[in-house]
Amino acid sequence: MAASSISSGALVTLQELNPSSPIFKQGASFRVTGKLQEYNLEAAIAVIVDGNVSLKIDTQHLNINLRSGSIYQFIGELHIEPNNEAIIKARVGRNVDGLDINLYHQSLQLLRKFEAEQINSRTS
Amino acid sequence: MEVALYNIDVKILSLQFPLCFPSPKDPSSFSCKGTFLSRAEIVGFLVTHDVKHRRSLRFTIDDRTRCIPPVSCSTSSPLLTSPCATHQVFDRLPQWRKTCFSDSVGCQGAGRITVFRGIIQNIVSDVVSGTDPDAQVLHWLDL
Repeated sequence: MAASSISSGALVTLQELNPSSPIFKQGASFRVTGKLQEYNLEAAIAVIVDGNVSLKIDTQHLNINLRSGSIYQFIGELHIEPNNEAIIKARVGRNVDGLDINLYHQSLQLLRKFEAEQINSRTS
Repeated sequence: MEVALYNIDVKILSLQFPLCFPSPKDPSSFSCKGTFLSRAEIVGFLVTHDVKHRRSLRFTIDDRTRCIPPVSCSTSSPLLTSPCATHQVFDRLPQWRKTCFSDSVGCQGAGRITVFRGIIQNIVSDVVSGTDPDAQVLHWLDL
């Protein structure tokens, strides 16, 4: 079957997006979730946080209203700066205020387990 | 043991689409790891949409495992429950697209599984572009 040409955003937590992680690759597509901490209107750079980890999001291609303190989800490509700092160049984003973060993290673990089973059954 | 779930919107991930194969006995149904199904429900981020010759609206949903190849609804498949969708959707398309299909929204689509030129797609008859942030989590838990 032919696949779609658009890369899906692998769902990761901000904690998992660190330079020592194997998924930390230039141009990789990710979906990230976090609370908007600050937003630079001129540069269109947002900073989201999850726990004690923060991540920069380039929102220049988005057309959404960003509110500090709200929770947002973004899909985009990882751009690694020369100083090894990560920035997600977002192509879509949405407000997910009201998202049950604990349930989200727990269901993500279950989903990964389910996917691993699916992949194993495909290869076996 | 084979399980038949015809005419039921079965919640699936796009990751499972490649596991679906047309049934040799019934071309309208698909076999997915021993389960026969004809309809599927998918939930994710709406990432693209476009209109083909004012006849069909095609959109792509990213449910994090894959971007589901064209999900489409045509004028012959009325959109049923979307609050702003009507049978005359194409007459009011600009406004409808603006309210229902701005990219960057969560989207839930349910409909018939089909194959077109080797690509499995979902002809949706029911679209909800939702604001419920937990919709996808609940979808995962129901898999």
